[in-house]
This record gives sequence, structure tokens and C-alpha cells, in this order.
Amino acid sequence: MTQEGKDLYLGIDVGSVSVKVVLLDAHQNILEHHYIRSKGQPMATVLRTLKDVHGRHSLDRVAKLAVAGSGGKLVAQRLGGTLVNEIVAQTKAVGRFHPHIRTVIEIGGEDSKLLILRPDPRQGSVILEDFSMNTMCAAGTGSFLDQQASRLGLSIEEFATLALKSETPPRMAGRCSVFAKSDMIHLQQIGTPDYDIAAGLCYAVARSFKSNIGRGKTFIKPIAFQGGVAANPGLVRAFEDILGLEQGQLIIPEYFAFMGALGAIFIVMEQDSKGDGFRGLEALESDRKTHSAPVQGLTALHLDYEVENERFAAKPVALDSGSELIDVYLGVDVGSLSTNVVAIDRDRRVLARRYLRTAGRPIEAIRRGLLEIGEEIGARIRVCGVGTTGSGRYLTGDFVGADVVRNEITAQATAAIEIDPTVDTVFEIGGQDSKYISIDDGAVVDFEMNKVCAAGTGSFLEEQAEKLGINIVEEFGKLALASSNPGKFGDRCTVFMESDLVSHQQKGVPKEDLVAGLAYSIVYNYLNKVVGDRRVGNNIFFQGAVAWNSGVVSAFEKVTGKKITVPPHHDVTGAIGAAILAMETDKGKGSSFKGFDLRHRKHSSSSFTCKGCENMCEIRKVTFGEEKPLFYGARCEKYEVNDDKKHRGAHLPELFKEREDLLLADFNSHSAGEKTKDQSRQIGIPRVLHFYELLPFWTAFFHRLGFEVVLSEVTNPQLIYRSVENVVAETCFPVKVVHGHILDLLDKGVRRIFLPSIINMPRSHPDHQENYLCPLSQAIPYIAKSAISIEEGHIELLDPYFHFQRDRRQLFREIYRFGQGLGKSKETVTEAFAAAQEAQATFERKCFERGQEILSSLDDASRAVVIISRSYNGCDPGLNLGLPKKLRDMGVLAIPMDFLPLETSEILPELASMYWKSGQRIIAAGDLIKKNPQLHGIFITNFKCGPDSFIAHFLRHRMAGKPYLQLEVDEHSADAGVITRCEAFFDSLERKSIIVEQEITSAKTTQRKKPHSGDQGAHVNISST
Amino acid sequence: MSTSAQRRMGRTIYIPHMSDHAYVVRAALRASGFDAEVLPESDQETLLWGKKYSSGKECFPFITTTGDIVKKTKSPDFVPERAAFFMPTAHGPCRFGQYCQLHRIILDKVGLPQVMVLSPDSQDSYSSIEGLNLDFQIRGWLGIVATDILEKLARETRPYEHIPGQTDRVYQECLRLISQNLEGRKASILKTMRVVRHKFSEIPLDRRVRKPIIGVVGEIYIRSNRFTNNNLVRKIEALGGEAWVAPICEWIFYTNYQYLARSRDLGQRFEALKARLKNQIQVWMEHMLARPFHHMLLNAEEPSTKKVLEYSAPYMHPSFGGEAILSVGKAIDYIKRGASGIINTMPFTCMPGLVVTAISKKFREDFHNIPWLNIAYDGQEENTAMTRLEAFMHQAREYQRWAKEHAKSHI
Repeated sequence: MTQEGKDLYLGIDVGSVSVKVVLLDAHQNILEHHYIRSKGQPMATVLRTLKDVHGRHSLDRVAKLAVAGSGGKLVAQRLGGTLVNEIVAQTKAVGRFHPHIRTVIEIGGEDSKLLILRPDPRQGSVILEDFSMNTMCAAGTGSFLDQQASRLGLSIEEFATLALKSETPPRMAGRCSVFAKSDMIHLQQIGTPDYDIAAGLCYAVARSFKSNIGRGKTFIKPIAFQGGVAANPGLVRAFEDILGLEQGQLIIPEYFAFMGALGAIFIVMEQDSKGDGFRGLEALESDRKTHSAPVQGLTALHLDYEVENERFAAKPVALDSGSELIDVYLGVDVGSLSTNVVAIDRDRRVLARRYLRTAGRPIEAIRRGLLEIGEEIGARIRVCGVGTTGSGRYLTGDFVGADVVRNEITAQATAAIEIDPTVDTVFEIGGQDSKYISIDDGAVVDFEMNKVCAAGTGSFLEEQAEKLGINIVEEFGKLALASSNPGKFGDRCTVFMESDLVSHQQKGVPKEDLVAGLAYSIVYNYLNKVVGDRRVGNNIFFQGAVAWNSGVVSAFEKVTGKKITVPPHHDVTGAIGAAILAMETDKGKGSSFKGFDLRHRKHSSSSFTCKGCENMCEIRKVTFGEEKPLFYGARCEKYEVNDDKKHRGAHLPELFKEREDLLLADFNSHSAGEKTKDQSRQIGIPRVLHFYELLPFWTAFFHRLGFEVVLSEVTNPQLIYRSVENVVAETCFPVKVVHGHILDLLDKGVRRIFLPSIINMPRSHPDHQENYLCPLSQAIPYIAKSAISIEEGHIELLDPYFHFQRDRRQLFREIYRFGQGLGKSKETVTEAFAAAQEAQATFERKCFERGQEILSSLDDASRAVVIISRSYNGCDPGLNLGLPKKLRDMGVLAIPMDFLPLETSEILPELASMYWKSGQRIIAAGDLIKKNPQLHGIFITNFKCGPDSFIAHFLRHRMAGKPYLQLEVDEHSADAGVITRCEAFFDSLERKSIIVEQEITSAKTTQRKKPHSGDQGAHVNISST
Repeated sequence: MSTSAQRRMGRTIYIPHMSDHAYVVRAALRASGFDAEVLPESDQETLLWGKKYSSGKECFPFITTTGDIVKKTKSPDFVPERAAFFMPTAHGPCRFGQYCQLHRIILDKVGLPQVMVLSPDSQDSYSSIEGLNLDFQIRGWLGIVATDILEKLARETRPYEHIPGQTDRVYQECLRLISQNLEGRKASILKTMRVVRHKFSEIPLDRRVRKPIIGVVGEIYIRSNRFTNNNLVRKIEALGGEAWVAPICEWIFYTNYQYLARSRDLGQRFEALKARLKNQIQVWMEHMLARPFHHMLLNAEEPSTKKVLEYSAPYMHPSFGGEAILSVGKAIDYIKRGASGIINTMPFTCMPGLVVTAISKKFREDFHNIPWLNIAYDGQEENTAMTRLEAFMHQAREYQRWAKEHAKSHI
């Protein structure tokens, strides 16, 4: 096979942080192998290594060259050779060395991969069955560890061996390197030895790999661990532990770092074709000199208006020289990085303000802030009210004696609305937290915050600025605005951004362009990771400390194409909002403020790690005297929910419970009787999808046919977990949980499961020609059969199809065919059908009647909300995180959507061709809610819901002018998030009605005081409109 | 002709460029006396407008068609009072049938209530639009079938051409011939197709080694539109494959079949008879046009809808309407014709597409683990997409080799 004098074979794997080179002879013996860190210069590294090899084995003898890896394309272009896909190459090498391996964990610098293999008896090798890779995120990659090692001042080798010394590795955040950093600092503060921290980080990487890249896939044994990171014994141990492996079940191939390079050249050696040959080193060398075209960057940043002084340096209003005491309201906002305290007067002007570092000690920060403000203006003022907000607001509230405690969404939104009532979007970016708030007509209708990633936060910029050696406060904005060709870095993880910066620096990109590129990056990160596909309006406020940065402000304007307003005191808007809320709720009864000097107020504290998610937050538990303990430090809202609020709704009827009783009336009346052990008489029905509407029909039907109906449990965490493990396609959440419900029925011993394909529902209005269920609901039996091996377990899945839209006779034909299949006579089926229809009609009538009662009992003081949703989303507490109960605890009456007389809604001609039943009903509900001032709406939808992507537009169109809250629920949604959103929504509705009242009263008495016009921008003023 | 065109409706009908079939639709419209134009292919500006006027959660084709429409309204030659956008519709159950309603609302929102959205509806035989008569339907149908065949020719020829670019040149020339013919007073499409055959037969080829055939099924817009699918066909070809894409006529056959089935179910005999007649005529025309290419193509004629539904029957019942059932049936048709891999394309969060994705697990188990790739598009270049496709093509080559050996061992 070898050509004349050509008997060497070269494999090169160009990774993101290292270059791997292997040299083989014609018998595939490995003559040389080299692993070199490329430090941002892959091409030069390849060249240097090849020259080195050339010294021993003349590269003129190279017959074939194979190139793989993320940076392989460029090298192949210059050097020649055949480019081999890295996954294919890895698979090949594993098949050669370890054909019995079924799962491969491959971790390199910036890429991590999971390969699932299947033995290939045809060739004694393996076939690639499935694979997944990391995207955009460094969690579970080598770079993550590199960065942490350098933070600890260790080489990666030292780090790895050190980790083995640990016996009790602490749990640390592995998803985001910024969060890991704060964990690390904390652990160091409390004297945790470096080896424990190192081991903790290894475990964090292993866990991240399992969840981020594994995504519920089964790691079939035996498992190989390869890639450069496999050299790390600390990580090997972590994987063995996390995956529950015995020693030896995790195989580290001898050439673990070279599997890509080896596989690539194996493949090319087997190919008959000569391929694109090796062009020799000269080609690369000469090319290198010519190939340095300037990189095309992004649009230069610039701000249209000269606002620097006005916007970026708002100063408190100086007190006049009078001697009378001024009424003030204090606001305190505690964030993870900063703690802010402000004092405002009755005109909402900021009289004093403090922006302090929290530094993990909020109590100390507040103490200092209050003390300083007290010294500054304490003698001239009378505190009439105090509001607290931010993480740990209940703690702060107790500490300072707050009159009002509100979540930061309400507070931020309040401040923004005060400045401009027409604001519709708030971007808030702080140190490690960023938020997005959507406002409709003064009401908060949507919000999101960063939970797992710090890429869209101030820490991201700070870290990169540090690397570039520039001062974030003084230099960053100016440099960014001076750039003519901002670098294009995209929306990447802060860890990856470092290597991007390095390679750009090496290419000689000027510092301004790097800085401007970073300004763009934080914007892209924020918009993609926090805002996602949520609505960005036209009147956008940018708040939080990062709004200081004019480069970021400009980048926001360039990317959104819209004007961005940075309000005065943007860095303390949360505190201002809290103070305003305190003022608005002030009934003149005096404040419970405990004074500016809180040095005497004693507290005790301890801490623990929350294991609720991968963030592993360190929660500090604080107790004041004998009071109930308070918690601080969580990255989510889990500990922010106030227990006191519960039972506010003890007097309210539980309409969702009532509806469930109606839905299960027939089922319950039969299940009281004796239980059969006869499986042939059992029919299992999963409590999912359309069954939340049609159960009365089906339970009555089966009972009359002489069956016993077995229902699956209500959706619960265990069931969700099993569902996610079994799904094939990433559908919406409600379709996913069907899998778990079926498995639950199988656990119950049911051998016959009823899962029909319901095509459509009865027509309720002649204008609506079609009344479909969504395609996924229709196809649910087909989806389930593919995911769960039904046949193997001798289980019968009954999957008839029904058109409920068709007339009684036609529907009966379908029902009869099904009943006949179950061995029932026409007579029995006819009777059962009639009973079923009767049961269904009774259910619907009772819902309607109860709804009428409720609607007529409402008055202007009631807080009533209709859950706008498909029946399963509204009525399955496992799908809506128990929303109805949570609302009740907040004193809000939650009404099921089908309690409304939906049929009475008039159909807009432009929406007449809505052919989904759910859409018709959702839009009808919107209409009724809009027309009834006593009702509000919460629209529950799901991530990836196809119909809702259109219905949401139509609902908005139908409800135009009336704000409603939209909640998107999926399997990752957390309880607390739902509560915060509801709180913010109802808080803002209440504020609106207070303002309306106040305006009515003030209009009756005197004209509302106009704000001072002389010092615009130096204070927060309320709009006079 | 232009004077009568001005008279018909007094508006220019703009047709979105989903695929080159837009040109034959234009020809058929012009022949019926309308003024019609094909919108330029989607580009980055399309995405900009599309994303501005959508939430980003809708299907990707909605975002691009919206973007193309808004982009057109911003062009200097655009006269709102004299413009209509051609946006066919359906009656569920997937999202496609909601496009035109939301397009309407968006046009109103941008202050263009006078712009029309023309939504011909196959269910009422286009009677909602005056002037779209039988002649339009016949020309339109012939044009669509002819373009389908032309695309099949190009896709079975290009991977083997000696002179790079020659197939594309011939293709463009033939496309022009077909639409010119259909626009003319007396169309004689059969004659044109003979010219097409001649032109293609003259392209020098090296087909000694058949490349692995990849059947592309899935959502009609994404699979047919090279902007939204990031030029999938060319990528498959660049990786050493031959790509077959489910044709447009498949969907039209299907809607007609469904209408027939429904009429039959509901006992509407006359409607059923009409639908059957229409179907027979459509099939006859398709076979007539495809016949001259039998010797040149491995997949000249389309299987009947009935056959496709039979294929997919083990996975889903025909009562479940929409594209999912076609994707599964067509995949089987492709495998029977020698495909070594199937790609199921769809917009991100496409419901029928997700059903097919779910079913693909069982499907593969039943078909010797044939390589199968589900790709969802949302306008973002995912950096692993190419890696996936490369790995898939590798699988397809292995499958092709195995299938060959397997076939031999059975002889």
C-alpha cells in the first residue's frame, strides 16, 4: 500500500487548549506522541511540534495525514491532509483499543463529549449510537478546572494530586465558574484546606458533566474516560464516586489524550483514496506569514447624547437650611454583592444614599449604611417608614424594623414606574445577579433572573477587565466608546472568553476593540441567557450597578436598536423602590424603625449548604434573640418566601379542589367499593392531558362496561423524574409527564392502559369549524409506544381514536367499535355511552353553576384571578407547582377557567379560524376577564408549547389594555419563582389601585404637587401625568 | 397581458420564496391575469424583521415569512394599496394554519391595514379568490410536479457531475423553461419536460459508485427552504452523500386524500366523489410528467398517499392528521428505494416534528438501526450541528456498506 519511500502516518488533533500529535508506522505502531498546550497559538504550536518530530523522523516520509479537533479545519487547510470529524475519530480509536466500551466520557479543554456506543459484531468494532456535547458553557470542561487551579495558585498537575488528599470534599457550585469563585472564597475564609477545595471542584465538574452533558442518558458500563483531563486522578475518583462505579469500571485508555488523533489517522489509513496529501512544513510556514487578515468586528459603540454627568453621577439633593424636621422614608436593598440604603423625602427625592459592598456580611453592611446616613442627615429628619427588599429582605426587615418587605422585582419596577409610568421593560444588571422585568400599563407581567450562569452579570465584566488590566469604573466605558472595530466574541461563558481574549490579543487586536467587544458580549449574554425569548418593549430602563458603564449602555442600544434610558440613581433603584413602597403604605401610624445606630442589636448566626440544586448555595441562618430564624444567601428565591403570609386566604373557597371532586365524582363513587384483583377487569387511565376534562365521560363509560378504573397518581417529583428519564423527544412538560404516569400505572400492576388519540373536541360555536387538540396530544399513544416498550411486558395499550367534534351518531360509531373490541355488546356500549355523556354534562353544568355563584359573589375588594390555561396545566398541581394553593395563601381566589361562561364570549372575526379548542377557550377567557373589572388573569403556558406561541399573541390582542401575568412552567421551575412572580404582579396591581385612589382624592382636594423642575435628573420624581 | 393583470384585483401578489416552486406559482398566477412577483430569498435582514415582530417562540418559517413580508413593505417600490401577500393556509392541527391570522395582526400593527394577505385554501378549491379558476389549478399543479421532478433530477445528478456547477446551470435553465411555458397562453409542459430530459442526459457523469442516499423528510418549509435549513442538501453533498428531499406535491396529494377520507367518514358521497376524481387527475398528471424520467431517476414517481399511510400504519393511525404521518411513511419509502440514512428536519418546537422524533426510536429499532438524525432549526447556527451531521454521514456510509453485504449474503 505504501507509496515509494512514504511509510509514516501522522495524526494531529487540534483542541482548544492543546495540540496532540501522533506518528505511526505502516503497521500502526506508535512511534511518537506529543501533547502540547497551545496557549492560544495552535498553528505555531503545530509547527513547532512537527519541526521537533522532523528532527528524528523525516516528515518527507509522511504518506498520509489526518487532522481532527475543534481547530483542525484551519490546520488541514494549510498542511493538507484529511479532516476527520472528532466524534467519529474518538469512536474509531475506542473501537480499536477497547471494543467492549459502551460509554465514553471525553473531557478536553473547552469541549466535553459523551459518546454512547454499541458493539458492532459485523466488524468487531463499535458503532456510534448517540452522543452529546457541551455548548457555550464551561461547566464540566477542562477549562473550568484550569481556571479554578490558577485561582488557587496551583498548576493543574498540583491541583489534581492535591485533590486526592481530601477525605470529605465540600459541595461546591460546578455550573458557573463565577459562583464557584464565591464558594471558593467563602471556603477559604472559613479555613478549608486547599486539597478539600480542589477535590470539591473535581466533584463539581463530574456532577456538571453528568447533568449538563449526560442529560438523563444512562451511562452504560464499562465506561472509558479520555481526553486531556483524564490525566487528573482527582477527577477520575470523582467520576467513580458520582457514577457509582467500582474500581476498574472506569477505564482510562493508555493513550487517553490521543484518542482523537489516533482515531483520525486510523480512519484515513483505511481509506483507499490517497486523500489530500501532506503538503510539508513549508506550506504552513509560508502561509502563516500571509494569513493575518484583520478580523471583521461589530459596529462601533457610541452614545447619541451628552449625558454623562446627568445620568452617571446623580447626587443626592442638598437639604435646605431650614430647621424643621423633614419626613423621610428609608429603603434598604441587600444584594449578593452590594447593599444599598437610601433616604427619600415625600417628593421622592433622594436625600442620602449609600452603595456598599455586601462582602458576605449583610448585617454589617446595613449597620454601616444606616449609621453613616444617620450621621449625615439624621438630625434633620423624621423617619416615617422603612422598606426592605433584595435577597434576605425578611432578615433585613427584622433587623432594621421595616414597615414594608417586598421582593426586588416589585421594588425595581416601582422605582422605574415612578420615573416613567410608560416604562415597559427593565434590564437590571448587578454584580452576580441580573434581572429582566416586563411591565404592562404599570403592572409587572413577567420577569426572569439569572440562576445558573453569571455570564450576563457585572462579575463577567470585572473578571475580563482584570485580565486586561483595566479599571472597570474609570477606564472601561471610555475605552469601549473609543473602539472603531469592536471584537466579536458572541455570547460565551466567562471561562471561554478568557481564551478568546488571549487569542485576540496575540493577533494584535487593540485594547479598545477588546473592551468594546466585551461590552457587546455582556449584552448578548444577558439578552440570550436572561431575557431569552421574552418581550423587549420600546421604553427600556437599564438599572443596576453595571449601568454606570457607558460602553454597555451603548452596546444595548446597538443590539436592541432601541433607546435605553438609564435613570438617575440607577445603582440604588431597588432601595428607592422599597422606600417608595414604604411611603405608599404609610397610614400615618408611625414606623417600627429601630433607629440608625444598630450596633447594639445582637444576633447569632450559623450556616449550611442548601442541596436544592447544583448551585449549592451557602445559606446563613440568622436569629435575633428569641425570634424565628431567618435565612440569607440563596441564589434563588427559595428562602425568601414569607411564612407569615400563609393563611391569609383561609376564608376563601378552594375552587380547584371542588373542581377535582366534580371531575372524580364518578370515579370516587365506584372506587369506594370492593377492589378487584382481576387484572382483566382493570383499566388504567393516566391522569394527564385531556383526561383533566374528559375523566367524567371515561370513568362512567368504563364503569358501565363493568371495568374497574385505576388512575395514576397526581404528578409528583418522582414521577417527573422518571418521565424525564424516559422521553425520546424534548416536548413540552405536560407531554413528558405522560411517560411517568404510564410507568406509575404499570407499577400499580395494571395490564391494560387506556390512552386514546383524541382528535378533536365538541364544537361549541358554529364559527369555530375545527376544534382540534394539539398534534402532540393527539399522537400521545404513538409517542408513548415508542418510548416505553409496551409489548415486552405483556401490556395492552388501548389506543382508539375519537372525533368528539362529530355528531352523536358518528361519535357513537367510533365508541362502539372500541367497545366491541373490548368484547361488549351493542346494547351495553349504547348504555355506557349514554351514561358517559350524562356524567360529562353533569360535570360541565356543575362547574358552570359554581362559577356563576362565585362570579356574583365578587366585589371590588376581592382579589380574584382566573387561571387561564389548558385544564391539565391549571388543575394538576404537579404541573403548576401548586399555584392555586399558593395564591390562596396569598389571599387570592383562584378560579378554574371552565368555571367561566366561556361560551358567552363573542368571537372576534380575525380570530374565528382558531382551530385548537384550547386556543378558543383561552381567548374566550381573556375576553371575559377583560370585561370584568373584578377579575384578573394568570396565563400558564409551557416552554415549547406550539399552540401557545400563537395563542399568546391572540390572547394579548384580545385582552389589549388589561395586564395579565404569564407563567411559563417546565420541569425546572421552582416554587419560589412562581411565588415571587405572583407577588410582584399583585403588588403592582395594588399599587396601581392605590395610585388611582390617591389621584382621585388629590384631584378632589388640591392639585398634586409638581416636581421641582430645576434639578432634573438629580432626583427621582414622580410623573405629573 | 399587463393590462388585464392590472385589472385583476389591482394588486401585485407577492409569493414568499419557500422553494423554486414559487416561480411556477407566479407563472400560473400571471397566466390567470394577475400581477405576481416572487419575494427575494430570505436573508439576515429577514431574520431581523422577523424576530422584531415575533416572540421567537413561533415556528421558524413563520418568523422568516413575517420577516420577508415586513422587509418587502420597507422597500421603496412598495405600494400598500396595490400589494397582496400570498400565504396559503390550512385548518390545523399544526401551527401553519395560524400564520395568516397573525400576519394580518402584524400588518395592522405596522400600520398597513390596506395590505392584503391572500390565503388560498385547498379545502374550498381556491374559490375564495376570484380568478383562481380551474386553469390556474391545472397550471399550478403541473408546475409544482414539474419542479419537483426537476429538483429530483438535480439532486440525483449533481453529486456525480464531472464539471462542477454544470448541473446547477442546466437546472436554472430548465426552471426558466418550465415557468415560461406555464405562463404562456397555451402550455405544453410535456414537450418542455422532454427538453429537460435531453438537457440533463447530456451532463457527463461518473456514477460508478453510488454515494449513500440520505432521505430528507420532515416539515415542508424547512426541508424545502435552503436559507432556513442552512443549505442542508449542499452540506450532505459536500460530505459525500446524495440527498433526496420529500417533494412538495406529497402534501397536496395528502390534503386531497384527507378531504376524501373525511367526506367518506361523514357520509358526504358527492364531496367524496369529487375528491376522488381530483385525486385521480392529479395522480395521472404526475405520472405523465414523471414517466419520461424513469430510466434516469431512482425516485421518479411518488408513491400514492394510500401507500405512504400504509407504510406508517404500524406507528400511527391515519386519523392523526398532518405532516408527521407523511414523514414516517416517506422515510420508509426512501429506505425501500435504497436510502442509507434519514434526516427529519423541522422548525424548533414543531409539533409534528417532535412526534416524528419520538417515533424515530422505535422506527430505527425496526429498520436495522438505520442512521437517523432529527434536526430542529431556529435561525441560530449551532456549533455542534456540523459535527452531528458529519457523524451521521459516517454512520450512513457504514450502513450503506453493511446493507450491501447484507443484500449479498441473502442472494
